[in-house]
Amino acid sequence: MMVQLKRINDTWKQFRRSLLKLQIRRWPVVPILVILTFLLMAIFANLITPHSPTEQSLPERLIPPAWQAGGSTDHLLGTDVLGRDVLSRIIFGSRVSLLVAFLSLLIGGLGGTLLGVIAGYSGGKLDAVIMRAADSTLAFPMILLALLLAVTLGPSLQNVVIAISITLWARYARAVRGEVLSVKERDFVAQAKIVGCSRFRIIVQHILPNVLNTVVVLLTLQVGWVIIVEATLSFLGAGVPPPTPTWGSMVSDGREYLVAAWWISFLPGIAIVMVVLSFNLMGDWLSEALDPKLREAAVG
Amino acid sequence: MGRYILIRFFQGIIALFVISIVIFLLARLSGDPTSLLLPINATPADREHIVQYLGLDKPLPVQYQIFITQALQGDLGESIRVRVPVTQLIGERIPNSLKLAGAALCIIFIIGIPLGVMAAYKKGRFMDKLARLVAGLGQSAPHFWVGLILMEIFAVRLHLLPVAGMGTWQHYIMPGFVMAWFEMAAIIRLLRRSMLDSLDSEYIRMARIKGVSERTIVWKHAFRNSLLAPVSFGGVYAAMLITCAIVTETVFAWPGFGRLAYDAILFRDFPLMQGVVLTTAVIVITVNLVTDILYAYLDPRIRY
Amino acid sequence: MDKVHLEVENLKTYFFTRRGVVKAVDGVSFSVNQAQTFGLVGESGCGKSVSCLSILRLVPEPAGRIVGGRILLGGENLLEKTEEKMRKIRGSRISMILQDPMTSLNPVFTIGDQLFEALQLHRHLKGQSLLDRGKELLKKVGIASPEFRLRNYPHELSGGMKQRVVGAIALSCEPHLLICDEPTTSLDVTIQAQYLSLLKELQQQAGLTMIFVTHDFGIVARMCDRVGVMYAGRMVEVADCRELFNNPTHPYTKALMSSVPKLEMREERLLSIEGEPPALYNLPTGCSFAPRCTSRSTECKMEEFPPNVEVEDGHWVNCWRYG
Repeated sequence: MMVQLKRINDTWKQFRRSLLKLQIRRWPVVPILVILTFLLMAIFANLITPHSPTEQSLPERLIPPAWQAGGSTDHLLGTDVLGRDVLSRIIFGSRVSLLVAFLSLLIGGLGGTLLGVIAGYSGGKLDAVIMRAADSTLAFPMILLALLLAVTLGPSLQNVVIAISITLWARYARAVRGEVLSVKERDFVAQAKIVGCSRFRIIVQHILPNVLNTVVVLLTLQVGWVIIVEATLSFLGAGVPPPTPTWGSMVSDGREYLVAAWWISFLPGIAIVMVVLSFNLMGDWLSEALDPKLREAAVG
Repeated sequence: MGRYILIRFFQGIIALFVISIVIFLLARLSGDPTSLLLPINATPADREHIVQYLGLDKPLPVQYQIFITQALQGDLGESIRVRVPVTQLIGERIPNSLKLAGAALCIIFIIGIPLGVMAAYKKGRFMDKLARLVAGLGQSAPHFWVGLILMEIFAVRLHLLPVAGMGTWQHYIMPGFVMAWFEMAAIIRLLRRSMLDSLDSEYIRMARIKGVSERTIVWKHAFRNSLLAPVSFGGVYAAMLITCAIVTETVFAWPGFGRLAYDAILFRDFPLMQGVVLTTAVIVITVNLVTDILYAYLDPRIRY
Repeated sequence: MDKVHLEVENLKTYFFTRRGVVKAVDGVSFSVNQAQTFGLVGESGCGKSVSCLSILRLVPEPAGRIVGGRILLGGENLLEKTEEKMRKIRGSRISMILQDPMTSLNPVFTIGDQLFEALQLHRHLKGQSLLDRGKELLKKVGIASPEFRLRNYPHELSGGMKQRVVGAIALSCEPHLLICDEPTTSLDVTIQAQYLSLLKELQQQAGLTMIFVTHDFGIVARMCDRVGVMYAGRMVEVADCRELFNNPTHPYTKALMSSVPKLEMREERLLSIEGEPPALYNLPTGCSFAPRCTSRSTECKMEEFPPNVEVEDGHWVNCWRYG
């Protein structure tokens, strides 16, 4: 019994150890700083924005950013066609992007992982059904799916999250299932079964820690993609509806004023690129550190 | 190998059916198109008339049956909005999208593949850093934004390229590039890692022991092995291209399939939506099948 | 007196890593006569494989570099040759068999393709003559139905057969020197003996000079004429095979030999050498084996590596007890 208990502790300890192996010396400092900045912006949006993101002010329409002629420090990044402060909208927009990303990954990732564990551990028909469903979902163009769902369910925050989650789960299910299949055959699982552990216990104590590496890597690699999907949906009009400012809708709003007021479309895009690039770089670094085998998951 | 193809083919058919059911239900759930079609002062009788005309009053399973039987005969119904057969609309638009996709694929192959290979071969040096920069940005910048920026710079300000629409070969440049960039980024990274793995392997060492030149080692021995990974994602790429098409075509007003899809969804045009989704499914499934066959050809280990 | 075919003089191959300079091969010297088999023995990581790769100048760059010494093949210094010339030498004058047959063959090309490649490159064979030579080579290494096998892919062959194919590829252009890096370690025990016989036979037929890397003294006894024992990147003892077995001098050699179980042994426990080999980026000055040596004395911790001393005719040791 004591031997078995020690084994259980070991697997979780190993996982923790692999996380700690990420030496501070080699952390990608700039991406992490950028991410933290945006995170803080999103959380403390109310406190830091100079203006309200939705307050319209027609006399102050189309003011260029502060460093251009005609700009003012009152509106550092200028205003849009309705006189709304671009900087404030970008700050609030980060809220939407990060929140949607977080929630979608939570639901999609969690759901996918759960299904993957079930599929891998049960095998047989259940496995086959889940995998077929996953394959079909994976093969389908994500934005089309997300668009359909978002439009079907009606534009709102929850529905965008649901739509994106549905496009995400399949990848997790597939990857997790693969891991489960290989872990299932390992000795310590057989040992646990011999000693009489319940299925649930085996899954939680033995299989999960080994699988978590994979999941964490996938999560970090996908954050950037999810943010882009949300922005694209917003751009196409199927995202979180106005008056909430989103980066995608800001770009869309500025379309007609590209020549006269380039900053309305350009600046939110820069924000997107900064955040996504940082997440991608961090994801790469994390995946190299935690599990070099998972590189193929880097696609999309 | 024949058996393998047959099995995959049937799996594809089943997937197609599942998708048809899903889209059928989704389309119905997405809302009532009648409100969009009727003038404001329509009477209940008018409404009744439209509903009957569209067959919306029949029970769902019956509607589905009608839908399927018609589809199998090549009739996907008529667009609610434009009163033109769906198949005709799709038929008109697909070639345009294919042309754009072709341009994008050219860019991906001509620029992406060499960049990916060179990045691995010259690891740590300029080529590698350049490739990774291109790839990193490609995966971080959203298409719609890149498209708009390019449009603004090259078309509006510099007047070098046409703003939008389809026409001369110059029209292909910006949308093609926008469509290509994201996928190219993925290919570069995947190919690079694949090549790094291959170049590290013992059989490459054996080839060096034989006295094979570096160029042959990179382009024959390592590359052939590295192709496996990107090819296996073929189906995913097709799906991605369609995804990119929706956005790119909307931004550049390209009269293609992607835009059609977007309009269909936006206007809740059931028949068109169904048609679009089914066509997409067919395309993706076909590409998956071709990819699987290609993969089996490239990797002798899985043939038997 | 046999003619010296290969002479390695004070070879130094270092790896420049983040942690420091790894002195994988630090001043190794030995010579091999024509048609002789020279065995390189030692624990994993002692530098035997790197020495072999150095001879072929295939040390993995940019981390690894040959920083000193000379390698004379038939009198010519290989370290002074251009990469172009080396490529011509590889495969035609020197060849190598690697350890793991599972990974030595490219999975996406047929056996035939891989066998023909060297022949096309160095002997410029084409068409029917190429095919015939391929079949001949496969027959030579004991593979039945060679035409059929030429069209097979590596995954369709067993481990033993794969290693034979590797042997065929290595010998395809009739090299003068063959390096075998633990060729039987990955094979089943039952196949090992067959493979060794095959190698011996091929050597005698062609008058091949061989360098045989192994950690197994049993194989040494069977295959080698002369043996060099390596430890932590350095050569510690070199002698003719029989001499070494009769009169092992260096404490490390003695310890290695006694850790192999023998039938006549009375003791219950196997002797093992205490401690671990030193990290190669942090070698101690003086004798590198001293920390683990049971017969060490105060002399052994001197500042220098013990010099080469000839204790018997042709039997050299690097040990302070004799220096």
